[in-house]
Amino acid sequence: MFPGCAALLEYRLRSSLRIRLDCAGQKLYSRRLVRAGKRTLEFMTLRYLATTSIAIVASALAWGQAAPYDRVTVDFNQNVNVNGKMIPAGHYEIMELRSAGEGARILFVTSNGATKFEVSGATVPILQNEPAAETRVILQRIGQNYYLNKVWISGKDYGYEFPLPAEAKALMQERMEPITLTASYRPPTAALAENTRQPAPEPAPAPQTAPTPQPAPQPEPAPQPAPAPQPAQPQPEPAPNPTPEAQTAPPPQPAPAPEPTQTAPSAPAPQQPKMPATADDWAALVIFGGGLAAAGLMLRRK
Amino acid sequence: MRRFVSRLFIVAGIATASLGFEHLAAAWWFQQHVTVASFAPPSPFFPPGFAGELRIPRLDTSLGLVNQHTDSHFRRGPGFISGSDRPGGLNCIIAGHRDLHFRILRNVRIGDRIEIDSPEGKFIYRVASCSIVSPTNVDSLRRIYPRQLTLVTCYPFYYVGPAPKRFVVRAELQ
Repeated sequence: MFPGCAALLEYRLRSSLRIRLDCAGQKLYSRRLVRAGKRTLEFMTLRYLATTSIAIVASALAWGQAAPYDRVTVDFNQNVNVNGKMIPAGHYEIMELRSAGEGARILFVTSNGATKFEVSGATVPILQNEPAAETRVILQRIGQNYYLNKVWISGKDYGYEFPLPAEAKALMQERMEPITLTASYRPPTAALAENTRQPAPEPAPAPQTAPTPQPAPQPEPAPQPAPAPQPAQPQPEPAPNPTPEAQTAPPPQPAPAPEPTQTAPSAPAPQQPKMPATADDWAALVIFGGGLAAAGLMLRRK
Repeated sequence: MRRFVSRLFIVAGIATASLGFEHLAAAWWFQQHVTVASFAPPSPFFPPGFAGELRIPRLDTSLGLVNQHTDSHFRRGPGFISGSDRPGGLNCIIAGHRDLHFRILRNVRIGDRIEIDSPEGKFIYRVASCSIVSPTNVDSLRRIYPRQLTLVTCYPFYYVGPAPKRFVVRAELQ
């Protein structure tokens, strides 16, 4: 087979370079041999083409029939809440199902060697810089419950995150919520003032509305009667030792006038942020405009 | 008649394409003159909303931030969305167009340093997570770190038309 090919190649080379041998006896290859070489080459090309096409078709079929998906087996040591459903401790298999249309990734949790369906849920794809070194299933503990939170696949830089169910979010939010207690401000007594005398503490305008005449002699000038009730202004520092007490009764004073209570940093009503639209679509405008102009030009040509 | 229609198409096409280029130019212009804008008197080109500078040193990127959160302002630069805290606050949420300034977010990696220079001070954040969420998933904007910076843009980054997802980067204050 190969001498034929070599003969053909040489023949072609000679004919293309127009090399002529001066001596007829030096004709190295017979025409027959050359013809055989041609046939061999054609056969080889055909065979190569056929093999390549079969390989392409086979791989396409394999890809279409069984799209690659992620599969993880895990042993849960305790009951775990997956997408709102509590599944008992045991051996489970977590499988991925890619929905071709939406691009959302759905994970199935099965047991009994992937024969018993337990629960499924849409996940959020999460990314990381480097491929995960090992496959990990991450649970989040909120209160007494464990929630299936993330799944990282070994060797891949993406993972799956189960959105937490509403009750878990509520519980988390409840924990993060600042607690505001109403407290009342008690002016420093004489003794307290003695103890807490510090180098030049700025006598902050105490938020006191009713000046209470103190019978005891005071080392420091008595608090000035508060000037006209000032509008709420940012106070530089609270007076030393304000001793806020949560829900305590005010000291026996004649009139517990409406006191500007010292409260914890008041949390403004949290405004729920909205997901903004973050595409300018200048490219769409340019493409649309270009298309329109091209259509106009074509119409003109006709 | 045909001639008139063809002319109409051509004029409308050129006008629409010019509008697209105008958006691009406005974004570029504001970012180029952002430092001037912060000191210059307000004008159509120098709106008074300059709110600071966002830098990602690894990507050698510096972006001027705008205060307002309307579409026309996002066109000039990334800005704070309504309900967001200021830089250094509990949850500072900055959104930007994926086809303009925040296209750079496609290269952001976990651990990247993000600096914000603003009237409130200079704050350094470290990227803690990147996620792709649905536009209805407002929970992804919630705060999960004590002091958080959240950057939001559309996803996929190369997409003509309204993108179906959002790309959310969470960074924690250092």
